[in-house]
Amino acid sequence: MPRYILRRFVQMIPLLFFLSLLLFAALASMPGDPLRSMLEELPKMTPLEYQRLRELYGLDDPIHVGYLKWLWQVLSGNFGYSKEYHLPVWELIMPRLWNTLILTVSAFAIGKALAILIGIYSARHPYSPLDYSAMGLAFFGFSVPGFWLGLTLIIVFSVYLHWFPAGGFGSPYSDANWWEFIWDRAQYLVLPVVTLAVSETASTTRYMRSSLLEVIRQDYITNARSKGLSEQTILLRHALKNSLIPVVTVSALSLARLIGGSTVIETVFGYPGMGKLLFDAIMGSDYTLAMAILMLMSFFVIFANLIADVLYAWLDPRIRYT
Amino acid sequence: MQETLFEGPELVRVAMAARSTGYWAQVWRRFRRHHLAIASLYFLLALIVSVAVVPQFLPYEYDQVSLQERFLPPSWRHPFGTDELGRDVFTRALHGGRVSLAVGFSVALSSMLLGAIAGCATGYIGGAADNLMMRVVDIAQSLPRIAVLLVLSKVFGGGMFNLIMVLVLLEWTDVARLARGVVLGIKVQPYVDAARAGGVSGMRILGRHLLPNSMAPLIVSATLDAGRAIRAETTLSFLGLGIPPPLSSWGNLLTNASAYYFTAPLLVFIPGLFIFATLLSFNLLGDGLRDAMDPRLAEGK
Repeated sequence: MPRYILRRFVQMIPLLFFLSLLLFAALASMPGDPLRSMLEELPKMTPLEYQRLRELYGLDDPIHVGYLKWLWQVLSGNFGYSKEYHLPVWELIMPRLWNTLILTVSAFAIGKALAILIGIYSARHPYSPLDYSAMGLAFFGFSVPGFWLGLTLIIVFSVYLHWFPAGGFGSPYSDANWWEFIWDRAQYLVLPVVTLAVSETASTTRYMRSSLLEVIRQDYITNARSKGLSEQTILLRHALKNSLIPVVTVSALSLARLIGGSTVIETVFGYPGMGKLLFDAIMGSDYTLAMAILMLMSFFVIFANLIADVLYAWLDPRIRYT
Repeated sequence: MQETLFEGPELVRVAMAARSTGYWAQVWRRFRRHHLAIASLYFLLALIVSVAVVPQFLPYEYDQVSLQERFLPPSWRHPFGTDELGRDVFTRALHGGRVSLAVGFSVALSSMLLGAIAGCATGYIGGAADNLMMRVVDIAQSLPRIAVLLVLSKVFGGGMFNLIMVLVLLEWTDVARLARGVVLGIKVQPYVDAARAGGVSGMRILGRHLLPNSMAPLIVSATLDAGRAIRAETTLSFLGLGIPPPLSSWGNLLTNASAYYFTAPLLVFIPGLFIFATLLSFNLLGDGLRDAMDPRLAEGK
C-alpha cells in the first residue's frame, strides 16, 4: 500500500505539468488586455511606457517562452503578482481559500451526514411512502440547477422574509467579541451552504440506499440475523461499515467537484472565496491570478481522486493494490 | 452524477446482453413499465415540439422591445407577463428553450459520437494508442470542470457554436472511457476472434461489432449528458459567458431577472422552472433507461 500511494504521488507530477501547460495555453489565448485596469488608473501613460510595461510583464512573448518563464517562477516558489489587485497572488488566494474551505466543508459535512441518515432509513424501509418521498426529493435535489436554487433562496429568505443576508460574507464591525463574530458569519453562510448541501445530499442518498440494500441481501447478514442479533446490532456492527465503502469513495470525489463547483455559488452569493476570485480574475483578464487558482483547484481534484482510490483500497480488503 | 452510470463488470454485462436477439424489444417492454420515465419522455417531446413550432404562431418576436409595456403581469396577451424592456416572457422562454435544448442535444450527440469512436478504436487497438487515450482521460478528469468551462468560454467567446464546442471538448472523454470499458470486455469474446480470423478488417470490426454493442450504456450516458450540458449552458449564460443577449437562453433570461425580483418575481421563476423540469426529465429518463437496459434487474422482477 505505501508503495502504491508513493507511485500515485509520483504520477501526479507529470499530470500537473500537462495540466499547467493546457491551462496556460488557454489563459494566454484569452481575449482582453491585462493592462487595461492599469491604463484606467494611469491615464497619462504614454504609448512608450505602455509598451515597456508589456515587455516587463512579458505580454508579447510567444506562449512557450511565457510558459517557461511562468514555470521557472513557480518552481522557485513564486506564483506571480496580480495586476488587478497589485498584490502577490499567494497573499490574495490564502484568505479566500480559507473562506472557500469553510463553505464547502460545511456543505459537504451536512450533505453527507443527511444523505447517510436518509439512505439508511430508505434502505431499511424500502418502498415505504417515506422512502419514495426521499428518493423523489433526491431527484429534485440533483436536477435543480445550483445557481437558480441560490437565486430562489435569496428571493424567498432574504428579500421577502429578511431571515438571512442576501450575499456577502460578514457585517463590518462585527468582531466585537468572539461569539458575535461567529454568529454573524454563520448567518451569511446559511444560504450558500444550503444551496451546495442540497445537491450533495441528493447525489449521495440514492447511493447510500442502494449500497446498504445490497449489503443487507448478503449471506453474512442473514447469518447474523439467524444468530438472533438485534436489527440495530446488525446494522451498526455489520452492515453499515461495508455499505459505506462506495459512499466514502464517491464522497472523496465530490469534495473535489465541490471546490470547483463553488465558483458559481460564490459568484451568485457574492461570497469572497477562491471561486469568486477566479471568476473576477477571468472577467478582468488577470492571468497570473487565474492560473494560480486553476492550478490549486486542479491539485485538489487530483488529490481527491488519489484519496478516493486509496480509501477504496484501504476500506475494502478484497482490493489489493501494489 | 457518475453514480447513475454503469461501472466495471456491470458495463460488460449490459453490453453483452445488448447482443442477444430481442434485447431491444425487452428493453422497451421494461422501459414502458417505468411510468415516470415515460412521462419524462412525453414531456421532453412536447417541449421540443412546442419550442420548435409555437414561436412561429406567436405575435411577438423574442427581441421585440415595447417600453410602454414593461413588467406587465401575466394576462391573455402575455401568459408569463413582460420583462424590463417590455418583451414577451413567454416568447423569450420558448426561444430560450430552442437554444438550450439545441445545445443539450448537440453536445450529447457529438460527444457520444466522438467519444464512442475514440474509445472503441483505442480500446480495440490497445498498446500505445490506448495508453495515450487513458492519459487524455486522466487529464480531463483532473480538471476543475466548471472553472475550466469559464476560462474556455471566455477564450472562444460566447455564442451557441462555440459553447457547444467547448462543452464537447470537456465531455467526450467520459464517453470514451465508458466505450473503452465496453470494448475491453467484448474484444476478448470468441466472436471477435472469429471475425478477425476470418480476415475482417479492424475498421469493419469496429463498425459492425464494437460500436453497436456499446450502444446500450452509451445511450444512458448520452441522456444524462444532455441534461448536464443544459445545466452547464444555463449556468454559463447566467454568468454572462454563454449565449449573449439579445438572443435568449434559459440561462441568460435569469441574468437580469434577479435585479427585478421585487417588481417581477416571475422573471426568475419561469426560466428556472423550465430548466428544472427539463433537467428532471433527462435524469428520470436516464434512470428509466438504465434500469430497462440492465438485464439483471429484469430477472429479479
